[in-house]
Amino acid sequence: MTSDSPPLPTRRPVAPPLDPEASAALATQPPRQHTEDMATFVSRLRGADSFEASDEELALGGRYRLREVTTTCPDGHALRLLVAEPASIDWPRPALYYVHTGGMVSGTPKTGLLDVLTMADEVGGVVVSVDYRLAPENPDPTPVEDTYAGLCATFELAAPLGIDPERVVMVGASAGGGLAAGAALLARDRGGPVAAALMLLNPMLDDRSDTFSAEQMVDVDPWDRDANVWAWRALLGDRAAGAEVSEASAPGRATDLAGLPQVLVCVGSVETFRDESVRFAQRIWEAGGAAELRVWPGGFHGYEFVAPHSRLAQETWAARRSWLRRVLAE
Amino acid sequence: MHQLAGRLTALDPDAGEALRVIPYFDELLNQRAGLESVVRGIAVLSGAPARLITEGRRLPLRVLPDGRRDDVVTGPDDAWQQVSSADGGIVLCLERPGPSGPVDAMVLERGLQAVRTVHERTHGRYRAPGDRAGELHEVLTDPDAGAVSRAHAARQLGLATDQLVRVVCPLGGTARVVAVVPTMAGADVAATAVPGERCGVGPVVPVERAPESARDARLALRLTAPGTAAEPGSRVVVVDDLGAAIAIAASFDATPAWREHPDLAAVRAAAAHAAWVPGTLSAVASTDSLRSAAAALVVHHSTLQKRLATLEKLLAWDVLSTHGRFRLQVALMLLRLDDTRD
Repeated sequence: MTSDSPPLPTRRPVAPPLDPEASAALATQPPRQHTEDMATFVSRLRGADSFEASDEELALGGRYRLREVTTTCPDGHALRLLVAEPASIDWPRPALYYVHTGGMVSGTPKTGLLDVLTMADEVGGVVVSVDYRLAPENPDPTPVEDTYAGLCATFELAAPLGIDPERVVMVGASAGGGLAAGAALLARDRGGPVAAALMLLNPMLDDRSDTFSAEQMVDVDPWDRDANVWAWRALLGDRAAGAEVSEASAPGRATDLAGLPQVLVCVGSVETFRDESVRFAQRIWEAGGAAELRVWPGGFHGYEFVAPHSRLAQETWAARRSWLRRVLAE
Repeated sequence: MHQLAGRLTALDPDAGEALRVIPYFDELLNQRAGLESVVRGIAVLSGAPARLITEGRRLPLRVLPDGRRDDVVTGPDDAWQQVSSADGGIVLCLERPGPSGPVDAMVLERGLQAVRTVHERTHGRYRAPGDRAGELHEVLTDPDAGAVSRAHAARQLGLATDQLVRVVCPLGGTARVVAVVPTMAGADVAATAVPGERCGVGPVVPVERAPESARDARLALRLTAPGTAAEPGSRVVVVDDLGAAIAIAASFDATPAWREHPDLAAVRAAAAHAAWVPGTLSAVASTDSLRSAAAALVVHHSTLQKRLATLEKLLAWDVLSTHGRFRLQVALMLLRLDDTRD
C-alpha cells in the first residue's frame, strides 16, 4: 500500500447503551431523515416544533414579567434582548444570560426558556435571552459577536434591571453553548465583562467534528455528525474545518482556557459532542481553572427535551440547579 | 437541534396514537429498564398517575404524569382503571375512572406485560403471594439447600447475615424461622410461639445454621402433647429445656432398643386399663408431690393414693419414689417419640 492511498475502512466503534427511558421515547418517533442540502437542513430545523412555552407559561404564575430591551451592535444592528424579571422587588438579583439552541440556524429567545426560567426562579434571578442573528444568512462572526454584545448590554443595564454584576451566570444550550463559550473567550481577551460562571449544556464547540465520539455516534445520536457538519457549514461556509477559524467561533479549538469563569459542562455519554465537551473541561483543569463535568449515562443530544419525564432528565436538571445555587452562594 | 426528535408527551387517543405505545415498552424491555421506568411510561403516555402494587411492597410504586416518583398510602379508588396478573400478585392502576379509551387500554395491557417481564427477571420465577413466604422458610431450614440459596432466602425474609434465630416447628404447619434477641433463661421464646400453637421450638443459632435448629425443633415437636385432660402434657416444648434429652430424641428412631424396652409396653397396657390412667401418670411425672399432683388432677388426695396403688400393680414399679418417677418420665418421653415415629 502506498502512503497516499486511502486508509482501510474500519468498523465504526459501538456506541454506549442508551438510557432505557430516553431510548424508548425516541422509539415512538418516525426515523430520522438524512440531510441532502443546506436549504433542506435549514427549513427542517426552522419548521420543527421547538417546544416554546406560551407567554402565560413563561410568567410562572405571575412571578415573572416579560419585556424587551434593545441594544445597538457595533455594525448598527438593533439587537433584541428578551428580559424576564421577577415580580418581586428584592434587588439586586442574580442574572442568567441565556443563549438559546437551534444548530446556529434556528430558534428564538423563547426556545428552551421555560427550563432556564425554572432555574432562575429558584434563585430569584433575572433572565436575559439574546436574540442573536442566525446563520446562514448571518455567518460567523455575527452570531458570537451578537452574543458578546448582548452580554455587555446585560452588564450595562445592571442598574435599571436590578442585576448584581457580580452574579451574572452565562447559560448556553447546544449551539448556544458554543456561542456562550465563545463570548466568554472574547470577554476574557477584551478585558470584560466578567461573568461569575458559565453553564454549558450539551455545547456545540468544535467545527472539525473529528473526535472519537463524533465517529462513534453516527446514526445513533439524533444530532450526529451529519447534522453537525451542516450546522458548522451554515455558520462558517467554506472555512468550516479549515485553518482560518478563530477560537471564539469554535471554542473547542482553544487550547488555553485560563482566565475563564468557573464552568459547568453537561453532556450525554451517547452524544456526538461528548469528547469535545470532556476535552474542554480537561483544558480548564490543566489551566488551573474550576470546572464541573457531568457526563450523563445513556443520554443522546437533547434527551432532556425529548424525554423530560425520565429519571435521567430529572437528575440532570436537579444537578444543574444544584450547581447554580452553589455558584451563586445560595 | 433537539427539534430533530419530537418530545414524548401523553398520547392523544383521538389522533390514533395508541400504537406508539408498543415501540415504547418494547424498547424499555430491550434496554433492560426497571419497574419504576415501566410505571413511569404508563403514567406519561396516558397522562394520569399510575401505581403498581405487588406482594411484598409496603407502598405502591407510584409515578406522576410528569415523571416524578410519588409513593403514597391513600387509595386505590374502585372507579380507577385497573389490570392485574392472573394470580393477583401484580396490580396496575391508572388513577382515572374508566372505561378505558384506546390509549389507556393499550398502555395498561403493554404495561402489565412489561411489569411481569421485569419482575420475573429481577425476582426469579413469579409465584403466587401466599406460597412465597412459606417457600422461603422451607429453603432456609432445608439442610440440602445450598448455602447461597439459604442466604438468598434469608435476605428476602429481611434477616441480616449475622442474625440469631430460632426455628419454630408447629404441628401440621411449615417450619418458620424467627429472629430473636436471646435472653437468659430463654425468655425470648415467648416472642416466637403463637398463643395456643402446639409446636417445638429449636435452639438459638446463627441464621446460616437454621437447618440445625429446625431439626431439633422437629424433635421437640414430637415431645409435645395436645394438653387436654385425656392427653395431658405441654403443647410447647423448647429444646433449651430438654437438655441432654434432645440427644435421646435424636437417636430414638435409629435405636430399636429404645422402643423395645418393656417399660413402654407396660405403660401402654396401663393406659388401656382405665380412662384416668394417662392423666394421672402425666400429673405424677410432672409434679413433685402427691399434693400437687392431686391439685393438678383436681381429685382428693386419697383418691389419688388409691389410683397409685393400682398403678403400682399395673406397672410393677412405684411411680412416686424418686427413681420410680424418673423411670416413668423416661418411659413417657420414649412413648411420645414412638407414637410420632414416621
